[in-house]
Parts: sequence; structure tokens; C-alpha cells
Amino acid sequence: MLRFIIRRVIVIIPMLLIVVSLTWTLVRLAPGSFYTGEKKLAPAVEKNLREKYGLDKPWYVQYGKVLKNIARFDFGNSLKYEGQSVNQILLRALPVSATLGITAYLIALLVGITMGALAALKPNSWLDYASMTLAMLGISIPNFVLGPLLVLLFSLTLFWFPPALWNGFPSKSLVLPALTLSAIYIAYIARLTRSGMLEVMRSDYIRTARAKGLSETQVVTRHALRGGLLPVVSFSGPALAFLITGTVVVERIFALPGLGNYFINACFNRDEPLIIGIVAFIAISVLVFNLLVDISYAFIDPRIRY
Amino acid sequence: MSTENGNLLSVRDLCVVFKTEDGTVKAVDGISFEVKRGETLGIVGESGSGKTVANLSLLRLIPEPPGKIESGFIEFGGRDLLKLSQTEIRGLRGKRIAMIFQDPMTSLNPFMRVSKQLMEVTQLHLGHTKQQARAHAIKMLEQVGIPDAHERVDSYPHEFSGGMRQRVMIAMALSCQPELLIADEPTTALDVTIQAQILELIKHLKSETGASVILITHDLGVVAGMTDRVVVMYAGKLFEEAPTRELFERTANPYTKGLLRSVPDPTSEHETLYQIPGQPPDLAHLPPGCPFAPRCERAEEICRREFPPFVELTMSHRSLCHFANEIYAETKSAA
Amino acid sequence: MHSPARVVLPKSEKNRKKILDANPKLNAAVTGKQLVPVGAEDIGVEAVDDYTLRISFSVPAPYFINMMPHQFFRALHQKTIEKFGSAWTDAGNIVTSGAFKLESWKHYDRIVVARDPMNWDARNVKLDRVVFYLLTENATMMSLYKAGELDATYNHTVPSAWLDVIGPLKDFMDAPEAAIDYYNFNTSKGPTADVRVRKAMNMSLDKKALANWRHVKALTAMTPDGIFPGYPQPKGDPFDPEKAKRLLAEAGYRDASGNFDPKKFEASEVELIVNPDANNLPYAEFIQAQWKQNLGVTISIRVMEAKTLSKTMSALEYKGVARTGYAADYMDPYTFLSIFGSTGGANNTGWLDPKYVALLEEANRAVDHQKRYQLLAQAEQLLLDAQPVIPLTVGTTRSLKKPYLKGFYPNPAMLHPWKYAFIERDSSKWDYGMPEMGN
Ligand SMILES: Nc1ncnc2c1ncn2[C@@H]1O[C@H](COP(=O)(O)OP(=O)(O)OP(=O)(O)O)[C@@H](O)[C@H]1O
Ligand SMILES: [Mg+2]
Repeated sequence: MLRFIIRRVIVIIPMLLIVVSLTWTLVRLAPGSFYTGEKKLAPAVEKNLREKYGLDKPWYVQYGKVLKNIARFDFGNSLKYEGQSVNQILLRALPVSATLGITAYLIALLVGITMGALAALKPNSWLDYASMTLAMLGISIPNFVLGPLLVLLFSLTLFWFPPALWNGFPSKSLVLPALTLSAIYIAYIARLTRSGMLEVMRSDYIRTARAKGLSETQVVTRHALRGGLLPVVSFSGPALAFLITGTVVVERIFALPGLGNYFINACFNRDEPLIIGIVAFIAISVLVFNLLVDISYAFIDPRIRY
Repeated sequence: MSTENGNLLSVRDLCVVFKTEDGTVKAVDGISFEVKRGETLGIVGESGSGKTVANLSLLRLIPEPPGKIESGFIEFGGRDLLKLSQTEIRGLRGKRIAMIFQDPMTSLNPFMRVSKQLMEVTQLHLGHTKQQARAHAIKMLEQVGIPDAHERVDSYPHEFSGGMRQRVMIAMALSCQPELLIADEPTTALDVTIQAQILELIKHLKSETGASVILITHDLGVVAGMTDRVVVMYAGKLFEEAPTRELFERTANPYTKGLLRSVPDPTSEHETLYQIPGQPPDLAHLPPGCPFAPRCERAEEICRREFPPFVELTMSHRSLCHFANEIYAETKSAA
Repeated sequence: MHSPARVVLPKSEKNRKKILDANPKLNAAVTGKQLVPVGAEDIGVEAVDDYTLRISFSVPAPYFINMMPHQFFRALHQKTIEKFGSAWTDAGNIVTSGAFKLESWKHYDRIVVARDPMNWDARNVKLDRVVFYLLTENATMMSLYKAGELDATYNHTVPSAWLDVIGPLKDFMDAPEAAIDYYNFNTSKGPTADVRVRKAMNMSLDKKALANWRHVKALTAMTPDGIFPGYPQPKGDPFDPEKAKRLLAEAGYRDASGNFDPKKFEASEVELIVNPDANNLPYAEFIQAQWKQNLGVTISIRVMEAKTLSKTMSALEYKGVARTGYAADYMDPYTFLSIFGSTGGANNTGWLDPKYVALLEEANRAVDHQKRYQLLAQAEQLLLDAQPVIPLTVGTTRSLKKPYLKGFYPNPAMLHPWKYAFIERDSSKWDYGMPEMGN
């Protein structure tokens, strides 16, 4: 197990290198830079700016600096938010995105598993059709459509929840963004749970459990859920990636000061250190999270040994 | 009434259907049989003949939908199992009627320690505390011949070999000293030496507990060595029923005859094994008349036209065939 | 618009040099600035005593007084800046002299300012606290306003598509702004190097129709109409498709009989590039349709992300026409006309006429206000004749305000005098419609 973890952690390094290098290249390929505006700068100004931020150095010196920064886990200062280090910004934005993401995922687990399990226990019933239709909708409605729809219904018609803004956790303002973000996970998790549970419920060991005289509830909770939810566990890895792309949009719609919002604006501003910082951070989180999922397998399924 | 004549279980006109895309399939079609106290009943028949479905019906474990027990009576200990409430039938499962399945590799929950799977049964039915249940589990594992039972009790199923897993299954099934043990091809998935050990174990435990056993198998050799009476099934129907010895010596059914001929005879010079020609029928599209007729060497016009009668040859020997009496007579002369 | 981080120069040359050396960005920005020429020995700014600042000019620069509200000229606390460096604007660090002080600033979230009890006029400040939500999406702001979470919105929050619904509401605040939308021509290459083509493309646009459709005012010259009292503003060419065709025919796009032939026009050499923000795209499509309808020429639209567009524009790499806009830095025609006084800055047309530059310089030397305005108007006429741009529309505030928010008026630059704003509890005194100034 330890060896497995060490091996996986070592793999993170080249992956991170690739991700960061690609990002760096893309930022460089994008026309304009953080000081480009509607007004052209005087050449002297531009020259001074380039010198100050080291943009006049050859590319390999600049690239080397980026790598060095990452090795020390210090991404330097933002170009747009003068005097703020990228690390400071990450620390400030992360709690927002994490709160939103985790709340959304917990909602998704709760609702998704319930929906999926109910559907699986009564396949082809109206309950099954209803939950699967809902799941289909959740998958096919993009969150930039769902968000405004929820706002229209719950904020502008019923006046239950505010349509935007961040007021920390817990607060009413978290409800709509978390729901919007969770919709697609609810859908995926419901479907995964349903198919996982259906498969397990057909398996021999469930028949054994029933032959023991266990009640249907006991059969499901003690015997079926664990195997039936394995697909949900493996989904959690990619889910984080989905989550991050989802927060970009949802944070924008609901004006939440999270990583996604910073990221979009960092791109528009060509704020290279911030872009690279956020990308590196996200990459590391995705890789680490996937590792955690793999490790958790070993705890859920005793047959798996690393 | 059932106790009077010594029957533990008595099945009457059991019909089980499955709704499939092909239409409704009668997987079990009006079969009747009894199991006496302390007796071992063998059920044989080709794959798909309805052996498993018939026995799962006894515990009402048919998956519904697509399955459904359409009609019949299943009398056990003086009550009709088909009329019991869910709670009542659950109280019987694992306590008075226990079942072990064909594939020990998949019949145990891979995510749960063996100890827990064993303890579950006695905690449920015997009201054992954790400690009691655990002690009992270890005792049961020892009884079925698992070495170092107190150490291995906390292992996961994948840490056992196939034969050992089937022993665990048997330990689990016998935990509450059931009156009836249904063993559905308990050895099919195991290799030959292990098969013999498992069968020996069932035989031994049966003699100790005095339980009745239904042993489902393809293997007529197993039937000969283990059972008191045999039921032969074909296409969901009961084709022949007889005391084991009689069946082997004087079968009154061409299908049984075919089955008997296909048992490899170690003394025989012939290398090639006999096989009943053709395939088991498609239950959704049964031919009119006798379902075995298309494959039967003896089939005549009447067989293809009319469903055969159930002929009682003796008090304990019945056969479903237009020519049961003739075959019975022939086999006598041959024997 | 790019503004240097700050223009704060100490009195002593030594300290000044120290600050300029420490901040090359500022140094360069100051060096490049033409409005306030900076000499090494004298920047012309001195503090006479604790309460007086004297600024000396080498030219009369009569518009300078109008520049004073610009954030460049805010009084700042020098020691704070020296102490905190670039973190001097953080809440807790910054020292301000206004009625409100910064309480907190969370990026992409909100800025909270609270009444400053140390302010000289604190007793007359009515609001305890003002919260500015840093929102980028207009739709979000509109929702928040509708849900009652906001008392007022920023300028330009009401999307054009909603104007039919929002326009009649009592909350709607619409007043002209000192901001213009116009298209640049690339005068350095292609068909648009020919002034006749430029004039034709301008003349063939029905700007009134555009303005009516989008509920804005048409821009007929380079400066907005009517916001500079006494300025004899010239008018650009009126809508005249027939004349436009004649001009194009003259420019060589004609058939055998000498009439304009759209097929001859090198439409592939001209495209219209716009960034997809705000209403730029619907504008562009409207204009494209006008050209098609009035000239029979199809100009393709290319959408470009803002920074890419800026870069393409300033390098004069675009073919034909590019969308841009300008917001006044101070209330004087010169703020708009100065764009074309040099080739740097926002002049991305490649057009520069020494006569125009000379007129502007002469105007800025003129001490007589009316004389100066006349000279500026001459320059503007010259600019309109050369047509390096297509003036399109004048900005309007398009904001919303709840009736109970009083002492709060539509303001072109969102420089609201917050200290006078207050919440009126008595509904009989509420504003219904745009409030009259001076109530
Ligand atoms: N879940 C099900 N759905 C549909 N049909 C089924 C189902 N289970 C059983 N059947 C039908 O019942 C018939 C009898 O099946 P059963 O499993 O009882 O046969 P078997 O005699 O036990 O065969 P084997 O020797 O292969 O175990 C099958 O041929 C099939 O058509
Ligand atoms: Mg079977």
C-alpha cells in the first residue's frame, strides 16, 4: 500500500509538469498581455513593464522561473492584483469553491443515491421512470441554463433564496448555486447507483442474503449498498474535475468569489502567475483526489490490494 | 395431515411463470412431490429444466418480476408456504429451510467478513448476542472442517479456496439446524476430489442433524450415492419419480433412460459417450404433445399429438409417458 | 484604458527620484504622459503649505480644472504608501479623506465602505455604510435588484434587450454619458486607406435607426452632442446612401457606365472586428445589414476576445474596421479629440494629421474659453472630414434605483456624491422617475 502511494505521488510530478508547461505555452500564445488595453502604451512604458516583470528575458529563463516557483509552491505575485501573492488569492478563493463544491457533492450523494436506489429496487416502476427522467434532464440541461431557471423560480417568483452573492456557510445564498452545481452529479450518481444496485441485486450473494431470512431493507443496507455504490466511488475522482469546471460557470452566474471566477478573469487579464497557480492547484487536487479514491477502494473492497 | 404420513414438505401442482420478451415461459409446470422427514430427495434434469426455479419457489425467492408463482400449494410443517406473509416466510428462511447454491465463488458477499455473514443468521433467528453468534460461527466452521476456524473466521471470502467457501456456505446453511436443506448443485463448480469431500460432508451432517435434504444435480452418480428418492424434471415438468434404486434399475421413462445412458461407465469399453440427441426445448415455444417427443427414440404419432398421462407404476413410482407401462415392462426383463 | 498605479510625486527631488526609481512602471507612465509634461528638474507641482497645492503649466491647459475630479488627482497619504508598498490600498492600510472609509474589500465579491467619523463633515453624512457588489454579469445584477437585494445598480446594467420592459419603470435611470462608441478605420492599408471609401461607409449607415433600435442617442461627431455647453460642435456627414455610392464609384468601384458596382468592391479586403462583450455584436450585425442594404456590400464580422482585439488594433493588423469606444476622463471636448493627437494611446487608425495636432495645440494655448472651443471645433471638423472613424452612439447611464434611495442621481461616471445619498422611509417623498437635480 505505502509503495503504491509513493509510486502514485511520484507520478504526480511529471503530470503536473506537463499541465503547467501546456498552460504556460497557451498563455504565451494568447495575443496581448496583462498590460494590453484599449490605449496603446508608449514604447518606453511597455519596455519598463517588460523589464520589471522579466518578460524581456529569453523564454527559457522565464520558463525556468515558473518551474522554480512551482517547486517551492510559491507562484509569485499576481500581475493584476498588485501586491497580492497568488498563494494569498488561492487561500482566499479556495474556501468559497470548496464550500460550494462539497455542499453540492453532498447534496448529490444524498439525492442521487436515494433516487438511484429507489429506482433500482423497483425497476420499471413509475418511481424508476420518474427518477431516470429527472436524471436525464440533469445531464442534458447545462448549468448555465439551470442556474438562471432556478433563479427565476426561487428568487424572482417565490422570493425564497437570493439570486446571487456569497454569504458564507451556512447561508441561504448557498442554496441555489449548490443546487445548480449538484444537478449533474445527482443525475450521474442516480444513474450509477441504479445500474450498480441493479447488478448487485441480481447477484448470487444477494440471493444468499435473502435465503438467510433477512428483510429487504437489511439486504439492501447490509449487503447491496456497498457493492452497488462502488461505481459511485470511482466516479468521485472524475467528479472533482467536473466540479471544477462546473464552479467556473456557477460562480460566474451567482457572482461567487471562488477559484472559478478568479480563473476566468485571470485568463481575460492574461495574469500569468495567477493562471498557472490556479491550474497547478487544480491539477494537484485532481491527481490527489484520484489517488484518494483509489486508496479508498482498498478499504471498500477487501479483494483489492496494492 | 402431512406430519401423519411423515412428509415434511409436500408440493402440489406448482406452476411458476416468467414474463420474458419472448412471451410467458412456464419454467415450472404443475409439478408435485414430497420430501419425508430425514429423507434425501434427488432432483435431476438437464440444464434449464426448472430445478432451481422449483426450489427457489419453496422459499419464495423467485425474482418478482419477471417471475411469478402462478398456482399450487407448498405445504411445510402443516402450513401452505404460499399463503404466509412476508415476515412469516422470512422467519422460515435460513431457520427451518436453508439453501446452498451452485457457485460458492459468488454466493458469499465479497465485501463482508465470513464471521459477520455467519453471525448474521443466528443473530437474526436464534437471537444470539454478538459473542454467542461468534462462538457459534467458529463452532460451525469447525464442524464443516475448516482448519484453524477461530483464526480464519474473520477472513474475507476471497481468502478461501472454492471448496472451503462451499464449506462456509454449508456452515451458514446449517447454523440454525434447519429441518430442510436444499443443496442446488453444491459441487458443480468444484473439482472432483473436492466434490467428493463436500458430498461426504453433507451426508455426514445430515446423519447428525437428521435434516431432510433436497439435492439438485446433473450428476446421476451423485444421485445414486446420496439420495433415497429421485425426481426427474424436463421442460418444467416432472417426468419421473421413483426410489433411487428402482429408478436406476427399472426406469419407466425414455428421458430418464437417456440420462442414465449418458452416465460414463468406467467398466465400459466404449470410448464415445452417449448423448440425448437434440437440444432442450425452448420453453416459450413448446411443441404440442409430449415436450420430449422431438428428441425421443420411442416417440410415435400419439406422443407428438397428445400430452402424455402420469402413469402410476407402483405406490412410489410414477412416470410421464404414453408408453410408461411398456418401458417399465421392458426394463424389468432387461434387469 | 490603462492608468498608472498612481501619480504621487513628493516635493523633494531626492524623494521623488527614489520613488520613481523604485517603480519603473510609474516612472515610465509619467515619462510617457503628454498632458502633464514632466521635466527632470521641475514637475510643476508643489505644496505651498499644509492646505495648498500649486500646479504650474508650461501651456495654459484651460481644461485642466475639469481634470481634477479624476482619480489621478486624489490626495493620498504618503507615509502609508511608503510603509505598505503595493499593499497600501488594502482595507486597514489605506488612508482616505472622503466621507466614507474602506472597511473591507473582497475581490469578486464586495467592497464595504463605512462612514468615516473623522471626516470634517461626518455629521452630515447620512448613510452608515455602502456595500458595492463587484458583479460582472448584468443579468445577475438585474436579478439581485429585482429580488430586492440591491438599492441601486451600476451604469449600463440594463441590457438593451430588456429596455422595452425596464424602460417605462419608475426605477429606470437613463441620462446621457460622456462616453462614445465608434468604429476605427485602418487608414494605413486596404480599401479603407481611401477617404472616399471611409466617408461612403459612414454615410451609408442610418445611425438614427441604430440609435432608436437600441434606445440610445446617435453620435454625429467625435464629441457627444449637448454635454459641453457653448461648444460649437460640428456635424459629421448625414445619412446619404446615394452620395455614398457616388463616392465609391469615384473611388474606382464602378461599372462601364460609371455607376457604383458592388461586385467591384473588394469586400474580402474589409472586415469588421468586434469583441463579443456588451452589445457589440448586435450593433455589428445591424451595421453589417445596413451596408448590405444600402451599398449591396457584405462585410464579414469577426469576433475577437477583448485583449486580442486591442493587440490587433494597435498593431494596425486589422482589415478595414474595428470596434472601440471611449469614456471621458474629464468634462471637456479635448478628452475625445486628444485621442487623435498622436499615434500612440487609443488612436488605432493610422491617421495623424499635423494640421490637426497644430490646431489642438493652439486651442490649448488659448486662454479665452470661447476661442479655444472654436479652435477645438475646427479640429473636430477636420477630423470628421478625414473620417478615420465611424462615430456611432453616445452612452447612456441605464441604471436602476429604488424610489426610496434619495439624493442619488444618474451620473455619467458613477461618481456619485455618496455623502448626500440617504434612504427615505416616508413613501410619500419617494422618487418616481428620474429625480430632478437640486431637490
Ligand atoms: N430470472 C429469470 N427470468 C426469465 N426466465 C427465467 C429466469 N430464471 C429462470 N428462468 C427460466 O426458467 C427456466 C428454468 O431455469 P432453472 O434455473 O430452474 O433451470 P435449472 O434446471 O436449474 O438449470 P441448471 O441445471 O442450468 O441450473 C430457464 O430455462 C429459464 O427459461
Ligand atoms: Mg439451476
